[in-house]
Amino acid sequence: METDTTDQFNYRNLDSLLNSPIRLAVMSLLMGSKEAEFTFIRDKVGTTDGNLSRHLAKLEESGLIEVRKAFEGKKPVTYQRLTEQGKNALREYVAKLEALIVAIRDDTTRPQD
Amino acid sequence: MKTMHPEQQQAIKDLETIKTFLAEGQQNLRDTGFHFMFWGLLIPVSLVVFYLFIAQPGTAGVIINAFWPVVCGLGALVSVIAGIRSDKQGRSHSFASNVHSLLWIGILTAIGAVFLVQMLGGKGFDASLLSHIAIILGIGYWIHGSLIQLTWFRFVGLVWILAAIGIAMMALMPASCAMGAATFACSFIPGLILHRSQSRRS
Repeated sequence: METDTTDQFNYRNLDSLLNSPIRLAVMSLLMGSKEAEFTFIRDKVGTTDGNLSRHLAKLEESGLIEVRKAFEGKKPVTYQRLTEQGKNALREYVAKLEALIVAIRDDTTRPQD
Repeated sequence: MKTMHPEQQQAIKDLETIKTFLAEGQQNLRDTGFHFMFWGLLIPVSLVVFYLFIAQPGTAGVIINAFWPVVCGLGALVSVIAGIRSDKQGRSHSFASNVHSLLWIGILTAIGAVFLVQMLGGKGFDASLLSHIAIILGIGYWIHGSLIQLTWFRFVGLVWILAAIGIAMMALMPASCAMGAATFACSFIPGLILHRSQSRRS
């Protein structure tokens, strides 16, 4: 078995914030919907209120998302959206993943020694 | 033969996650059911008002002819204002919500055009006009059901089409009553169900 330890395979260390499947799912969801309400994210991601709140707080602290509080009637609701920094972070993350996939393709098509 | 590095496997998994949730996000569409409840009450109530107070001997023809355009025009105005307000609050900006807005603008325009063509063609207000409107609404409900991913809502669209066939075979007065009943059953009730399910979700 041969493994490769070049830097390109350590992409996840560079993006520790996106290293969590839940945060990655939330970021992708927000990229597609521009803005989403807390319960929508919770239902789609399939997590609990408390867990999602913790992940959202981390993303907000890092400036990747912004939170808007509003009222629907008397009921408080929160909306999450990606900041420009968040969009760029996800784009860069995808670019790194794509580069990695290309590396895999090149590796598998190269003649074996 | 080279074995895939665990990080490579994780990268493929991450890409799948991104792809899946990006698509889910694009389908984000919150429907509070407001517009359906509003129209589902407006039309039956207006129908009662029309037959009790407007379509009476002695009422000027211009008032009778202007009644429905005025009611529907005001209804459309309320819907547009509510839609703009909801948009400003940022509730819906996904691809699906944009398609949804355009769909109902198209439906309202089509209904207005059918009404205009019927009037300009000299056919006046008859059962076939109501039938055409029900068909257009049926198409709208079918597509709307697909957008909000609710199969039962799509079937409401089919009920509209069936109602259209029934209405086409009636005289004006029973056809109007059938249209009022269909509007209540196929608009107000589904709107109420959507509203309640949204309230529960939150």
